[in-house]
This record gives sequence, C-alpha cells and structure tokens, in this order.
Amino acid sequence: MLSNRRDFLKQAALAAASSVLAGTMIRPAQAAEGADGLVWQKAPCRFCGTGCGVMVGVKDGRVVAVQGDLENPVNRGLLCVKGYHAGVALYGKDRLTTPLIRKDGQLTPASWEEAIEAIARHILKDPSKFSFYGSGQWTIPEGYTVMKFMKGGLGNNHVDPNARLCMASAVVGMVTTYGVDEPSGCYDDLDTADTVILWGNNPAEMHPVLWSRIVDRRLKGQKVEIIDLGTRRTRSTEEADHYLEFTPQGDLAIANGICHALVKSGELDRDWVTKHCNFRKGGDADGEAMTFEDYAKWLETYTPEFVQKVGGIRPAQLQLLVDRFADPNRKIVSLWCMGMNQHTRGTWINNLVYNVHFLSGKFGKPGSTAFSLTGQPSACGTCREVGTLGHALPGGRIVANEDHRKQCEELWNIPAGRIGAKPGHHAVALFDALQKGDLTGAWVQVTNPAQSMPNLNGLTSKLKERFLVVSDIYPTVTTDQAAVVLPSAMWVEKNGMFGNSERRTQQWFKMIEPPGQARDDVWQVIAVARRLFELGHPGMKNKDGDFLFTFKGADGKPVELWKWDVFRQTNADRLLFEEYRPFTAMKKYSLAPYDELVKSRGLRWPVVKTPEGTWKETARRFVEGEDPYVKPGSGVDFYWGRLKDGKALIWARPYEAPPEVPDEKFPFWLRTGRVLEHWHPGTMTRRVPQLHRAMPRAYVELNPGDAARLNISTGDKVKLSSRRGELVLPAWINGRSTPARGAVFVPFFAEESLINLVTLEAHCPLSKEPDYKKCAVAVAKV
Amino acid sequence: MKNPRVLAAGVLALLAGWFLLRAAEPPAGQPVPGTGGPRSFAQPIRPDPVGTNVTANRSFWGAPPVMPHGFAGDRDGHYCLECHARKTRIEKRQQAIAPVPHAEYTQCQQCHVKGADCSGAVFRESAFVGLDFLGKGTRAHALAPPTIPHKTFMRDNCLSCHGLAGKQRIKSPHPYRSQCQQCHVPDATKNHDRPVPWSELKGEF
Repeated sequence: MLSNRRDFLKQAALAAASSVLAGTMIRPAQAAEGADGLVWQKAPCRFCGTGCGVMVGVKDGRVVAVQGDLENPVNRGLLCVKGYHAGVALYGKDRLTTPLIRKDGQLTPASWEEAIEAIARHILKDPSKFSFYGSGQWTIPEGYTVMKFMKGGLGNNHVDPNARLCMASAVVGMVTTYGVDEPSGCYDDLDTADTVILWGNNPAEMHPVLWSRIVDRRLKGQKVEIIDLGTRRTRSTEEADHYLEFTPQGDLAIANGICHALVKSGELDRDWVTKHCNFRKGGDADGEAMTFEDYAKWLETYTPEFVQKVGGIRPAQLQLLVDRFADPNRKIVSLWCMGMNQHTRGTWINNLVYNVHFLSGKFGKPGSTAFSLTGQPSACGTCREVGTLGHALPGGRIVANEDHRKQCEELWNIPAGRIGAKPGHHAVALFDALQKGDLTGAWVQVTNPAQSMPNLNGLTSKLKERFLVVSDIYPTVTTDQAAVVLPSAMWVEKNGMFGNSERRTQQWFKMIEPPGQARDDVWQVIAVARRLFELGHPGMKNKDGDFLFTFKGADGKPVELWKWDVFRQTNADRLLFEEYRPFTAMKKYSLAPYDELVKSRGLRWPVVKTPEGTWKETARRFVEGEDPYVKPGSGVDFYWGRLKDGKALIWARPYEAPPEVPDEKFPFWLRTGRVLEHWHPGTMTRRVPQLHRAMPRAYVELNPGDAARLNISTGDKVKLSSRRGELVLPAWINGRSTPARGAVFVPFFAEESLINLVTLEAHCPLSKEPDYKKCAVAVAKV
Repeated sequence: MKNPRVLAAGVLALLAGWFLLRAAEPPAGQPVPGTGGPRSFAQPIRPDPVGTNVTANRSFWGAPPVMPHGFAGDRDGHYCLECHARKTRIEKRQQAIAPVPHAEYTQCQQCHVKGADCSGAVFRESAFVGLDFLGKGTRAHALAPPTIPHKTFMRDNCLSCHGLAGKQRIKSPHPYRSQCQQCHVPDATKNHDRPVPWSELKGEF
C-alpha cells in the first residue's frame, strides 16, 4: 500500500515539477491520497526563526496533524509545542473570510473588486504618502512583490517591516563589523561548542528546538558549559552552569571589560587579529581608523571595577568569562536575540560581541562563532535578503547608493530614476508620520502593529483617521482600526518560502485551500498594482510599457496573475523567486534555484553550482574550504570588509546609559517579551486550545524581594504606570521566570492587556530598533 | 517526629512546597485561594471513549499530550523526570507512573504544556479536527503478535504506554518482557516515521 502511495506521490510530484517548469502548476498534495487518505508534505514551521522542518498531514482538504520532519537537519524530527500545533492555528472559528470595507464607521463585507478599487483609488490620490508595513513572516516572494510594487512601481521607499523591531540592530551590527549582513556561523556550531554564552537570551522558551539541540548533548556524555548572562532568571537559567546577572545596558561594559582583560593580559589571539581585523573608533556607522595601541589605551576605562559599577557583575564573574575566551582550545558560541537587539545601543553591543570573538580568535571555526538568532521565520530570508526596509533594496543593496538603484532599475526593466534616492521611513518614524498625518495611508501585512509597536498612545492611536489597509487571517486590534480588511491565506494555504537564522532557504507547496474568499498576500498586491495600471499610474508600467508584474507562460503569452483563477493555478512563487534570484548575486548571497529548494530541506546560501552540476550549500561563511568566495590561502576572508582588504572591524564603542532609567517616581525597570506558548501578539496561538490553556492571560513578574516589600502575592492586581501609559495585571511571583531586583517583566501576547501602552519608543540611532527591554515604571498594588 | 528540629524542618518543607505549588500556575485574575496541593485545570481535549490514551489530552493523533496534572516545577524540565524517568516507581495510590518514552530529550516542557485556570481569559474557539487513531495493528493469524499501529519515533520505550502505567485497553499482558520489537514489528501503512520521502525523489526532477 505504501508503494502505491509513494508512486502516486511521485507521479504527483513529477507532474508538479514539470508544470512548475511550464510556469503553471498544480499542487502535488491536491490529487495525492494515500491508503489512509492522509498525505504528508514538508514545510518549514510557521513560527520562529529557527526554521524547523515539519511534516503536515492533510486529509480531505484539511490539516489534521503536524509532526517533526526527521530529514530536516535543523530539528531532526523534534518540534516545540507551538510547532506541533501550527496546524491548529489555521482553524480559529473567527477566520477572516471576506474583504471588509469601513462604511459609516462599521466594517462591512465587500467584494474583492470593491476592496481593490478602494485601495487603488486611495493610492492614486497621492502615491508618495502611502506606505507599506510588513513582516518577518512575509514569505520571500511576498516581500519581493511588495518591494517591486512600492519602490519599483510607486517610486516610494516607505516600506518597513516589524523585523525592524526585532533584528535591525543585528543587521547594522554585522554590516558595520564585516560589511555585509547575516551570520557567518550555523547551527552545526551548537553541536560542538564547549561553551555557549547567552547574552540576554532565553532560547529555552524562544528557540526551544535549538535549546534542546544544545542541552541534550549532555545526555550523550558531551560536556557543554552554558553561561547565562542575563537580567532575569528563566528556564534557560535552569540549565546554565553560571548565571551572571547584570544591570540593564551593562552588557556594553561587560563586553568591553572582557576585551580589556584579554588585551591587558596578552591572552588574545594576536595572529588572528593582525591577519583579519582593523580597529575603528566613533559612535556612528563610519567611524575613523585607530591603531591597536590606541584601542588598547581606549579599553583602559573598562577595568573590572568599572564593569562592576555600571554592569553589575563582580570582578570574579567577569574573570570567568575572560578565562573562557583566553583558553585557546575552548570552542565558544555566543547566542543572542532580542536582549541585545532591542537596545538603544543595539548596534554597538552587536559590534562589541564580535570584538570579543575576534580578539580571542573564536570565529570561523567549527564550534566557535558569534551567532545572532532571529525571532521570525523569514526575518532573514525576506526582510534582510530581499531588503524590505526603508533604506534597502533587494540583495543587500541600499537606496542611498546610485549604482544600487540603477542595478535594480535594470533588473526590473523600469525607467532610470524611478526608484527614489531618499530612504523611506523606519518603523517608528513610519507610524509617527501616520500619527501626524504626514503619511495618509498604510497597508499592513502579516503583523499587528497596534499591539506590537512601542508607546501605542503615541504611535498608533490615530490609525483609524488614516486609510489603513490590513491583510490578516483573524481580527486583531489593528484590523479594528482599518478602513479595508483583506482576508489572507496562511502558511500551507499558499505556496511559500522562508529564510531562517542560519541562511537556510526553505520552500513549501500549498496543501489546502484558504477558507472562504481568503487569498494570497502576493495576489492582493499584484491585483492592486494591476488596477493602478488600468487607472493609468505610470509607475505600474515597465520600460516596454507592459505591466510591472509581467511573466511569460510556456506559450509565450503573459500570465494574467492579477486574475485569481489564473493566480491559483500558477506557481507565482517560482516566477517571483526566479526573478528575484539574480538580485542575490551582487552581494554573493547566491540563493539556490527554486527547483533545487523543492527537492531539499532547505539550502544555506551562498549556494553554488559544482562542476558536476550539483548545488553546494555553505555551512560557514567567510571560511576557506566552506565558502566558495573566500580567497584561497586566507583562512578567513571577510570579502565585504569595509576597507576592501578582507578584514573585519573591531569597534571602540563606549558604555552609554539608557535614555530612561528608574527614578523616585518610576522606580522599576520594565522589560517585555514572549513566552514559549504564544507567538508575538497571540493572533494565531491564542486560538489553539492547548496553548491557551497553558498560558491564558498576561501577568507581571516581580522579584520575590520586591513583591514582599510591596506586599504583593501571586494573583494580586498590580498597576504598572510609566510616563506614557498604565496597565493593571495580575502578579506572578516565582513563576515562569524571576526578574532581577528592581525589575518587572510583562509578556506582550495579550490584546486585552496591552503592555505597549507603557513602553518607550526610544531606539538605537543606527539601527532604529526600539528598546522594549528598558523603561521606567511605577508598581503599585491595586 | 519527636525531635523539634525535624518537626520544624517538616513544617518548613511543607510551607515551601505550598508556595512552590502556588507559584507554579499562571496567576488568575483573582487571588488564588490558599488551597494548595496539585491541581489540574486541564480538561480532556477530546473524548476518550475506548480508554486507549489515543485522543485524550492531545489535539491530534501524534501530538504531544498536555500534562494531565498540576505541576510545581514550571521552570525546570528535570523536575518532570523525577517521577517519569523511574521505571517502576509506584505512587501511593498504587498506580504506576509512566516513564518517559523518549529518554534522549530533557526539555519536557518545550512540548508538554500544562493546564491553567482559564476562567475569564480571552480565547477564540477553534474548529480544528485532529487526526484520529488509524486503527489497530494486524495479525497474520489469531495467535500471531499484532503489528505496531503507530510511528515509533520518540516512542522507543514501549512500556511508557503499554507497561504498568498504561491504560487498560493498551496494557501489555506480558509487561515483564521488554524486547517488544522482537515480536511486534511496525506496520508501514500506519507508521508515519518517514512520511513522503522527498529525498528519494531526487534525480527525478
């Protein structure tokens, strides 16, 4: 029976592959049915940036089960509780199934034609005042379509994603350090590291499968030391050998303190540094050159005493870290995510952690790397590689660079000068402009900014007065403010591609139909673009006068993608991805062809063709023998180094106090974050019974000492207030985590308890990423 | 218990235990009355009429079950293994406790979540219908051992479910034998260990 099913699937897959080549396709799962009526197909998980492979079981046109994909090298069959229940998230009873238009203050069902017409007419009024706010959960083709529509079509650079709130600091950190975005290392390094250092990171809840990959090595008799450098005791702390609690923002001083000790004692890898690094000082992205001697002198501020004063860790604790880096035989991986990125000096702390790894030579070797984890499934694939950011263009290009704009105009076959030279707004500025009326409209896809932006009173309270279009799958606090709501297809209801934290691009096929009239986000954008074309917007034409999104079918005729019946019979992902792929050559991202990704469980770029005709992925970038672009004999070659000499930069970035610190009136630090069970604002996970039952409502975590002093016990109502807003929550003491004394923690998943009314929109001046981890609040028992 | 120090230590331990248990659940909107003791808010997710443990506490056949009981160690995975790792531990109610079926993993709460008091919490209903049990294994003849009707990945300790702790309908009549797969072999039609082997399709594109 199995062979029957296999044969059937093979047939289906072959049919799919050949029709893929013809530009149109059927979905392999659609026809295939096994003996038990169940069909399993691969997909990457819908949730975090780990990029686990899942197998989705479909029966009678519905997802009925999800299991870990044993063949996927990321997770090897294991998932976390969100991953197992990813399929359940499709079936909330209140799925949006029809377009809605606000009439007389009420969202009223409308046809797709009406909705598209309304959007196109609004854009036509003033295309320069329209904006697009997207997501690290956009698939790669979705982000690419929006970039072409906005930057290549409307000539408007106001495109930014929620990933700005998530990994912008890592991006600018890497670009300033080695001249190009995305990590050098990969998950394999977690399998061989002797020491894993968590820089303000809680992977036990946020990247559980990677965490198991590290921790469960111990069961095999391997020694892996975990050092948790944190501000809150978490589930990760439970597995840590050492917990070093630091003062918020003290990470800047700690990293410099490690460098100071390494340089002072001479326990640095001098050869590695000489061969691969230059030194740089200054607070901005360019800085100016300095010598090693100047750098050593500059470091003298960061004595163990100074580090203790501003960083809060004792000299012995600092020495513990120094000893690890000074040991030439020890393999070390540093991991970080939001703790370092959501930081008013996020770029600097990213630079400084690279400094530590460079000075000790713990970089570019199996088991030794500095690795930034991403929060969203395609923050890398879509936001960073396609470049759906105000200042960016596809493939690592930037708006401010005239050559880059020209290259994009040529690749898109659009007239020279179409792409604006002025970078678009970053997320905070974009919502600020909407608030003030400088932008009159925005289209939001795959995200929920009225819950996730900081300082909601200051940034999203006037969205109802603007022309807000929201594509989503469920009602949210953002759709509540929309003028037009578009029902979207989700995850396996459409074709898709994600790029995970380790540069792995993964592809999946549509497996089931979206409910009701819900349609793909890509289609929605192309349909509006087509309507604008028909209404005569000049930007919707390419140089030849054809529609911007013109693709030729096998018969040589244009594929009319804007027609839903054509779109759903076409693999638009393949067409869009293959159009996008040439963009990835310039910066040597070199993504694999679509058809190779169909066959694989994802491939890590750069992917190059071997003389035998196969495609080879790259585990570690910049490393000789692994990365095909490295100059032979160099060992490690930072071929995008800022000074074009194959070297990275070690930056002298100082300690700087955060913009808002606790005082008499607001004596507590507030930090926000996620929990294992819920994904971001909970739009999907709060519709999964198992996840909801485990984590039904938001809470405020207090340190037991503070709670005793304020006479607060678990379940008591507590009011948090800041200079921007206030919120009442139940207290939870000694529960999931324990914040440091003088600090409280609140998760942001609950739409009925919007902690972002309280948070601060202060952001890193280089990356523009807001700091959700540090603001001052008052705490009172109600 | 005549030694006052032992008594004091006992009282302290009880108090500590009580606080731990109270702290272990996400807070409800109202203060939790000081009842203490393990509690469970987890309702069976689906009816389990045949008592096979196939559907209760799981959203679909193959999903990780939710914890069917209250639990104090929210933060510590190893805490679970205090009870679930011991092969023959007998609880005071003379019920065996199921040992972990996949001993190579320690971060239990990554997949197994527990129930909490959901009264008054915001939730939107789900229309998800999970995959059901695919049916029993087959026998070549009346006296032949039945085949294994489910996947075996992450279920390598058969006695987790089929041993003393197993529900009546699936309990082994011979729990003293531990080499199960000597006689019971997987049934490929019901074993989704290797669903759609895409890799085997390589070269055909």
